[in-house]
Amino acid sequence: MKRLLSAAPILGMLLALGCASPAVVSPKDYSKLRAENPVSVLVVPVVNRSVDVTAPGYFLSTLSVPLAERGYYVFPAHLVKRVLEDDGLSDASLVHHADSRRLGDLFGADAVLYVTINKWDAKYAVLTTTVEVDFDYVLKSGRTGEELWRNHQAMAWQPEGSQSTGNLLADLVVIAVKAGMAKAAPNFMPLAHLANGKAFCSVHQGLPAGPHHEAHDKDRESF
Amino acid sequence: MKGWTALALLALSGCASSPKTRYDWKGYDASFYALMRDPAKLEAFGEHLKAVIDRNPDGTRIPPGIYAEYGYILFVAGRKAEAAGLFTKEKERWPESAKFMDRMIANCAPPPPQPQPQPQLPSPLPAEAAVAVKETP
Repeated sequence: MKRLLSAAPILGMLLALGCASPAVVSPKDYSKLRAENPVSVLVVPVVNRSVDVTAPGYFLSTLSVPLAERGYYVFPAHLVKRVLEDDGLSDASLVHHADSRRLGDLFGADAVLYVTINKWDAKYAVLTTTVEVDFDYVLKSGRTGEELWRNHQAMAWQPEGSQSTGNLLADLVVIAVKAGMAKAAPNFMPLAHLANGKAFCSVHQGLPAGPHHEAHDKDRESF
Repeated sequence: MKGWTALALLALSGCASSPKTRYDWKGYDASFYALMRDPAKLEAFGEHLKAVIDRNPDGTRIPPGIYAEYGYILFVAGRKAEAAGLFTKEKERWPESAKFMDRMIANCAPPPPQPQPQPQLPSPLPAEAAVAVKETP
């Protein structure tokens, strides 16, 4: 099943989706974030508003890489998850409602990243399946509890149309099979990775380069 | 699994100046994902982390958190002295992790020896009572 979703043509389509110009949004105000200048970011377990119970764990695995590549120190996400569970904070909603100053103090974190999954769905139709994700990202100060930055990403993907065999019936069968395969095990991960990339890196919307990045404090025109 | 890291790289290419990542992740996100799918795969996660550490003896390309993640795997396996060593490495490489790493290092320390309970000796009679006993016929 996975080989269907890792083929080069699909990659091309995903990139096309990722690079499509979104509706014009005004640049974010980075003054609080710049003033706070966090070095370390604590990624806490993700709140799930979708019906897929596997979503939060899977999505948690995608957040550390792009955030660290952006130049921030990211606390070890798996270890943090286990420590929070041991401390009675296994419910992500409880963690999200806790004062970020408490978390900042517990771990020595400058900032805390809270992500909520609004959608992690595969919509099934007879001949095609549309996979949709929708996330909210909020960064709060671990020192003052203030919100420093927020972003939102929504993405959708459909398997690309199959190459025609010239036989209509055969083509319909192939499309139905692909939709069925996607239904059985839709792969959300490429979309999740793309969404994070856009959320953290888009000019005027993403995060400024962190202190471990060579562009730190030199990208004020973009962020 | 490799496809995801490639996709992540491409997604980040809008802000990265070169396609090479800053750190050597060696599929950290894919093995973390595998662990979330099957919590029994803790050892396999540990092996991935160890591979990153072993490939980068000078540490410059080891990502934030990797020493500590591997330290936790060892901690769970009962190898607490080694775990403490890894938490210390994380703290040295990333001073911003110091508060959290100090807590983890403290958790690795063996518990203090419990004081042995002393056997109870009979308490001596007070001096006045001893004299009273002697003088009583």
